[in-house]
Amino acid sequence: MPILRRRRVDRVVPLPVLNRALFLIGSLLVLIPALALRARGQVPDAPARQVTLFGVIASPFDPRIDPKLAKIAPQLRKLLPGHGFRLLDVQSKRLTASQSVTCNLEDGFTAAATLIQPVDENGKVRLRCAVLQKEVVALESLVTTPANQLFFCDKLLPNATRMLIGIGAR
Amino acid sequence: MTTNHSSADRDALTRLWDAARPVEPTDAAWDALWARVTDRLDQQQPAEAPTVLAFSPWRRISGRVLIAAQAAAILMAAFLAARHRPVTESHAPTPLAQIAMVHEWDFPPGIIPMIRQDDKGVRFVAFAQDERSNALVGPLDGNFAMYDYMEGLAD
Repeated sequence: MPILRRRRVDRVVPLPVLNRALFLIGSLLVLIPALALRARGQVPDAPARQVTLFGVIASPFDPRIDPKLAKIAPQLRKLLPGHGFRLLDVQSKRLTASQSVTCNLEDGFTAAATLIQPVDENGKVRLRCAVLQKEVVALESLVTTPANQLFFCDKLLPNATRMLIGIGAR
Repeated sequence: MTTNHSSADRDALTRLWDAARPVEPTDAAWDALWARVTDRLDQQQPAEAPTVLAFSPWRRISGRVLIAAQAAAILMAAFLAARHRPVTESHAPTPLAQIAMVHEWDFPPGIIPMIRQDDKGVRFVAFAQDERSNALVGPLDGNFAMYDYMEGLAD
């Protein structure tokens, strides 16, 4: 007598339960990084400084003062007596370590200030300051300075005018 | 009720069964019957299969959501790993900076420092802060006032 084959109709895995479990795991995989990101948002930001950089041309041949610089003419004249002053560019940017702010000056000159260390062991700021001419460094200094105190780089140009770069961090 | 039957009773029952029993199906009849059953089952197979293996719309949607959630988790983890990468502070001069000599200065407070480069070389010049030179407001020192003004000019 022929044997009737039994057909497989059994359900091995209860799929709804498995799906819900996998969905729960997937949701946790999303939620945990999201919560971590939110927690990171509550952590104080990396130390930063507002760095201001400006370039001025000082000429011994033209005593005029750029109207934009009229209010600080006494201070500039104290630095370079007998000169006129013309503002080339001024930039101010909030920087964290390794970030830079740059100024485009004339005749292919560029000034750049890079924040090296927002606060050192003495509470001062460390900056790298560079004056570049056609992307070649003409003057570079590693400066440690108190915050809220401007300092200057003064470079004599071939035409006897001076390029005055002011830098400060607060 | 007794279960003891006499030999005559058993013979009578046997005769009655022989007279009334149905004819035994032949092997050919059995084969035909099982062939019909098998054919019927084979015809029903396409209709039965989905009831066992098909995914309901809910399962399909949850599966897709699960895949999307896992992909989002991987992307977010990669994003966090990139953002967590510590910023290495580099004190090494840039390749361009290697052309020029790097000068190091540590300025004290209370002066106006200047790094001067001219035909005499690079040197440090300090100017005293003079409150009387303040052209802006009040008794603030000139350096501070100039700083405030230039920062405001940048904005």
